[in-house]
Amino acid sequence: MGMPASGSPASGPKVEQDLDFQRREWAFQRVGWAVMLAIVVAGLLGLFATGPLSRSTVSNADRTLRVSFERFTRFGAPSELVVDVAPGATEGGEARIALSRDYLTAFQVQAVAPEAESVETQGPDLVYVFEVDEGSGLEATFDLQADERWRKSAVIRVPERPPVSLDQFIYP
Amino acid sequence: MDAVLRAVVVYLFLLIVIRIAGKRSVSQLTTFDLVVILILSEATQQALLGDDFSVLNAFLVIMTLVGLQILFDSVGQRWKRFGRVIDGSPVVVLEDGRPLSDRLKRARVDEADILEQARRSQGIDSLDQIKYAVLERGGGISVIPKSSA
Repeated sequence: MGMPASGSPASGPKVEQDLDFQRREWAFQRVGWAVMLAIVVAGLLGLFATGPLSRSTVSNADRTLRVSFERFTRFGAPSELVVDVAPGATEGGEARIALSRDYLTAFQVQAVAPEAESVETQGPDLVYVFEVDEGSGLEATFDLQADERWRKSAVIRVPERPPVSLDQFIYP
Repeated sequence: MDAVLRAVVVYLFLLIVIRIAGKRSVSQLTTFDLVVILILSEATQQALLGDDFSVLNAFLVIMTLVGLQILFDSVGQRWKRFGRVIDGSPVVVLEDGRPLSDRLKRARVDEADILEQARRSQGIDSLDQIKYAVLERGGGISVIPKSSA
């Protein structure tokens, strides 16, 4: 039919192509992948809860009370708080662990192991009373669930001893 | 307020992550792509609705999400630059039978993809019968054949 083979017109197809923008977009994507990788690795390591970066232990001034907790946790997620009371800090077959009440509005106590004999209020604190053998200490594990967000502080006490303070951050 | 905020935050987060993932990742779905998308929706469900099982909560979230879609779409129409940031722009990846390798590589598309689309839409089977191949915004490939002599 005599139609010439089509050569490409110099301007190309009428496509709203923006190569500059496209190249920046591709670069942005590559940066994005690196950021995502970094975030995932940080998550694995515990920056966002549950992992070596998050678990932390604090003791009180005379080492009679030791608390293991997670520095970072997430809203609605479970978190373990382990309170270790030295034998010297128990009295009359009882270990009394006092937790500040504001802390307990931020964290719901799902379970305590071993089970507490009773729970009392004492001023700004909630006191968990455990039965212990004369002369032994106690390790109590509180299963908590984060019920609020952002930074929370707690003060944990046993009678007549220096308190332990800790700070936790709850991701929303 | 909580429901709306959650919806906005999740929407924006997903927008960013999907854009970082790149065009090819979301179009031309393989079976496994579909599975991943299903899992994605499971992952966002809890974040969107929280513990609130009420119908009103669901309505608020749905309306916020749809509203955001409409908003971004309208703004994108009005301001082309914004539209390009959200949706991307088309890219020519093959010209006159010659694939533009640099662009293909960055876009994570290969010649096989172009050929597949050429077969499907134009019934042509070789690259040199193609005048232009364009990777569209949505990730699909459009093939413009050379007009036959």
